Amino acid sequence: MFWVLSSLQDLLIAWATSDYGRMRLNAVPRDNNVTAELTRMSDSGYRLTGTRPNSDVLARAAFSLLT
Amino acid sequence: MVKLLTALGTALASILGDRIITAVEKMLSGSVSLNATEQASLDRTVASQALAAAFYARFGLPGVASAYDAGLISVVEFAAYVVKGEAYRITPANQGRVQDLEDKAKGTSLFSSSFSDLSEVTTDPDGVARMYGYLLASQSNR
Repeated sequence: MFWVLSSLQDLLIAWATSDYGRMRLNAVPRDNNVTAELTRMSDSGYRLTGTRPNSDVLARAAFSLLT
Repeated sequence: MVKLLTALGTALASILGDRIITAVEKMLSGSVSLNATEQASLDRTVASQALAAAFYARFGLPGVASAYDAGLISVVEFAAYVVKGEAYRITPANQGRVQDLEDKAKGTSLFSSSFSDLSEVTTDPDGVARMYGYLLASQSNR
């Protein structure tokens, strides 16, 4: 299971870091509303910007996004 | 090539979704036997995947892209959404396991510290949100 998972991840990383993959990822439009939401959530204490948030912060932030 | 990538994305999403459910099942049953470093890594992976799903549900693919730009999700998670379109949702194949988790949670006080009502979780349109709730509640009760 984990070998399969690791192999699939390696393939996706290889694709994502290729010229074509980077082009596809960069072509996805960005949403300014997300940036605003991240700032709002950080101001509310989730600290999603600036430092690498821990899993508990990520979990609470994601649940907050969906409720 | 596109078909191959789509197949890879589908397979990865399925396996990662299954991994999330398995992790939550272990947490709920108290059978997690990982050391602190492994547990932290698993927590981070699951939480990051769930956050990617939350951004997708709320903002669509541009939301996932912006979350990637902000450093909240990995390039693997972003790429999986780009080649597949979506990931980590509850599927008919794992719906039964999710229902089992839901039934177990109803019989415990698992949600008391995080939610006032179970319906806050179960009425969410995205199944991942429910998994998130279980993860969050499990973490706060460990």
